[in-house]
Amino acid sequence: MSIESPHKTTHFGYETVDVEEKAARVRGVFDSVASRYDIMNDLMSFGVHRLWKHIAIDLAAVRNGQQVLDLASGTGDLAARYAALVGPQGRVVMSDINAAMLEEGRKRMIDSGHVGNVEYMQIDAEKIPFDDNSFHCVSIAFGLRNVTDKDQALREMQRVLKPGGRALVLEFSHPGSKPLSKLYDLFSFKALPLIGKLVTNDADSYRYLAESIRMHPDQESLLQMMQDAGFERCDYHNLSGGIVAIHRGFKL
Amino acid sequence: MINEAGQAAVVTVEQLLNAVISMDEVTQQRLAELHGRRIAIEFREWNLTLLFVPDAQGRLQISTDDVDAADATIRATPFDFAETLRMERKEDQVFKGKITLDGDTRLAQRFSDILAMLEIDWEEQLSKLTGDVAAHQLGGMLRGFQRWARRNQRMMRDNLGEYLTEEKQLLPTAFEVAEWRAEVDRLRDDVDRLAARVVRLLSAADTDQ
Repeated sequence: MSIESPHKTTHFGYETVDVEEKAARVRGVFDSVASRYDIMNDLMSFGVHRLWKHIAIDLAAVRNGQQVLDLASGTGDLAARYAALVGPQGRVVMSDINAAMLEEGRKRMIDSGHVGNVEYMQIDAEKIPFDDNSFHCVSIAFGLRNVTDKDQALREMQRVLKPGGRALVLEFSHPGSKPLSKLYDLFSFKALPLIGKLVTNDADSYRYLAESIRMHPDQESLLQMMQDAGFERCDYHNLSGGIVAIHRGFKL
Repeated sequence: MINEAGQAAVVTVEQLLNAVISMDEVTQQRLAELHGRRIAIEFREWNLTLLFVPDAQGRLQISTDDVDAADATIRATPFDFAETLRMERKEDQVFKGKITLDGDTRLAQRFSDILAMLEIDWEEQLSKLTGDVAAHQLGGMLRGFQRWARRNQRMMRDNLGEYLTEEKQLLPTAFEVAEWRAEVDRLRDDVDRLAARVVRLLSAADTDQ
């Protein structure tokens, strides 16, 4: 056995875990919730997640014939809309690091008739298996906070973008106003694990979701991270009072 | 700044429209042929432009995305759109300038034709709830009522027309109106001819001097 340097650590919700361990723990969470992920999303956001995704798609401005990579696709809400926008000549790569989630998403896409211009790949956002300058648009919705090395993931997203292409990060963020923040805390730490327990019989996974949102960088920090990763003309849009933010950056 | 309430309205309209379209398979198939094409509809007075993109299954995605990149644009006031939907000869509205088409006009024409041809088989939808027999009977009753209502409406219109023109003589008959319009046309032509004659006489007088 080789002598190892002291373990690097990262956060898993409020816990501190080894870097190597985080991916496995996150996988555990999503394996557990995969089949009821959609219902839970609706309950967690009161259905507003559809609106957030709709707005993200508008900001993505995907056109007929383009190539799009959707990371952490989950059940494929964004990928399904991209599939319509790129038309039969375009291509959408729907991906997730978690095989159970990807399988769930693939089933849903096929059931709803999205075939022909969609490919499915199990992809780790930190190591995207595509050449430089491959896509017109790369997006990650509600996935970045589960990635162990976020800076590396952002650099990879920038690398595979074509010049002129844009990246979108849709993620839970930090509400701007104090009262909303208090209310939101109450909901996510008290109500959310309870809903999780009732619907998926798994309170811990949903406690992790709530904690991981709090540990995720706020709007300005993520904006800086995107600039550090090489994106230009970066901006962000707060939705629902900052509960969610869409960050956007271009490769020029 | 993103207007979330406006976006929520767009999402709702999209869901409603797709629910309606899903009731007509033929319309869905026709829309699916336009997969990925971008058709913008501009409602002039409302200052609102919506972008419609059909997916591979003929469902429509609606957005307020950058409409400059649309393949085709249809522009009209909401009132003119409503009027067009009721008209038999929709192309008349284009000739009158009430509706303008930009970009790929064949695509715009095809898209509006598909939506205008949307026909929902209510009996089929009802049969999913009540079964075929009950739905057919109910459908038959409704069609009977529709025929009766249409016949009565026609009869009432004829009777009222006759009362106002023949009995009370408040309104002219169609023949009298046509005669009057022909006379107006004739008078206008006569005036035009007279004006031309006066101009000719004046110019002749000028050259004589």
